[in-house]
Amino acid sequence: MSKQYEQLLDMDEPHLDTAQSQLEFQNFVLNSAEANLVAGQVGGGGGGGNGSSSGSGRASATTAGTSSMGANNITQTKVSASEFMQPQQPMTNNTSTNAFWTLQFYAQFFDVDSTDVAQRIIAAVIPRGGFMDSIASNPDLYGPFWIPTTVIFALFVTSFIAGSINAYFSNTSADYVYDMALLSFASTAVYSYVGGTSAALWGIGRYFGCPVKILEVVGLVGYGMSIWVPVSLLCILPSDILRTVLVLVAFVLTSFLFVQNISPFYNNASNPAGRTVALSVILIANAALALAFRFGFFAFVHKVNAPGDNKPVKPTPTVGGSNSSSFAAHEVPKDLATAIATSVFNEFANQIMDSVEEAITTSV
Amino acid sequence: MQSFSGNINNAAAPLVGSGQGVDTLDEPVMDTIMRDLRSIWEKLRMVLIPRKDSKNVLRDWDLWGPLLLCLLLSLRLSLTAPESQVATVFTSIFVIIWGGAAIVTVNTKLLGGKLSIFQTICVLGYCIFPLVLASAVCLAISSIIVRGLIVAAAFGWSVVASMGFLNDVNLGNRKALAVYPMCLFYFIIGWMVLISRSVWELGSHTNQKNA
Repeated sequence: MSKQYEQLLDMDEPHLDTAQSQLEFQNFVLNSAEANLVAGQVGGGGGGGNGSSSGSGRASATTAGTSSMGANNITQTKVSASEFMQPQQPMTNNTSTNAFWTLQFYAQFFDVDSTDVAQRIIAAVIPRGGFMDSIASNPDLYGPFWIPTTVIFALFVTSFIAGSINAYFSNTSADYVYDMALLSFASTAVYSYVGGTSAALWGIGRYFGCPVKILEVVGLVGYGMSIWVPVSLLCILPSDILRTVLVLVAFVLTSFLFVQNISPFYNNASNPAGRTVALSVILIANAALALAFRFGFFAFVHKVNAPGDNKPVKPTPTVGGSNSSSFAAHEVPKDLATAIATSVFNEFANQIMDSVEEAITTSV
Repeated sequence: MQSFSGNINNAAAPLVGSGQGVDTLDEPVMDTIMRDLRSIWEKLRMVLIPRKDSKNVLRDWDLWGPLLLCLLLSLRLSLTAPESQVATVFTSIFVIIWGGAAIVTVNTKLLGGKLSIFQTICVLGYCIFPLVLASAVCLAISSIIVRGLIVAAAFGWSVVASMGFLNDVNLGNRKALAVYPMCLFYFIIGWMVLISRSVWELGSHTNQKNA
């Protein structure tokens, strides 16, 4: 009887000789296959030995190598008190055993080293072709999230610096105050650019039968934004012409990168309109971002505000301080933002409708 | 028939920490509050003057300290914000601190770091303390250069303190990827402190509105 019991329980000798091990929480867990079934993970745990490949920590996860006799194997693992609060599941790269609502599912998209990210950024800033191929084997979400976030903060910081330099040079006695709405405007603009362009390119690809993987498109757009960080830093310099030139250069570079990497997908397209639509979407989106950059964040001219007038005045260039005693804070030109957004949307919608009509008529 | 009797309450050895059981119900409220406050102060001292055993102190995480610091910073920054933006600034700082701490933690975890989410949020929250001190000091300083130096020093202090606590997360080649968002987090908070106005500048802005 006891022999059967010993076969059922595959217990390691607990090693209770040290004080540390005596205080460790003895956690009995099922082996990985049964744990997958119990946890109700999608895909039914294909193949037993998928646990614990990445790092060990203190919870010694079970592998298929444990001497398992019979169906029910209980293996003892030691979990220290600090990890008791959160059961540590190994961060594996196996999609089929992790549900998409768990954190472990997304760990597979962060499987990049620092050097990988650096290389991808350089490849995006200096477009030599083949960017999508280089990330196809291991598309990551680290770059596409943190580079746009960096751009947002860079915009906020440099916009303030540029504005205060402008205020300093226009010899007003008032202080330059910041505008928090600029931060929310920046985040909306940048995140919707990344999300919208990726979704549009993916949707167009699917519609015209030249499917592009969503992760690769997101990677392309996300890493393609890296050029805007140095551009926003350089836009601090108080010269309108320089700012326009910088924004144009960034626009050309990013558009070139996108076109270079999206075009190959439409080489075998049955419908030539697909390539046109995709390219026009790229150009429109990049142009909208460039305009928002130039006129939303770095349009600093000396504003003349009549006393008591609290409407945001359309910027008019004046020389010297004259009779204005107040320099209003650089208010986000909300009218301008909505105008840009609606015009871009209208243009985009019109382009799409035209190309779709053309596609339908030519295919019929 | 044998009868067994004994004392359930083991009054001989009181447990350390908050596990004192029935005893903490009877203690005066002041004791309870002071115990928590002392624990918070202990952790704040660990952030200011990191010692060898500071990591063990922070394993006993709590979120009251970060909440206190976050409220202090939000109040201080919204005090001297432009009138039309007081609420926006308060909300933004609050969201940046808590959202930023959560995002940095999740990012480190996704990169493969072995850490506990709440402990890390606790560490990140407590390491804002040098920046809170800097913001309090900058309340009285209007020179942008001096403020820049103070904020830069506080920023460096915060980054070094939080890196000290998160050093044993075994990230290998990805350490830079995990450290960068942390630096961004403290940088944006430091920037908000830097561009906030001092009490001396408050007057000029109100004059400006009336003119």
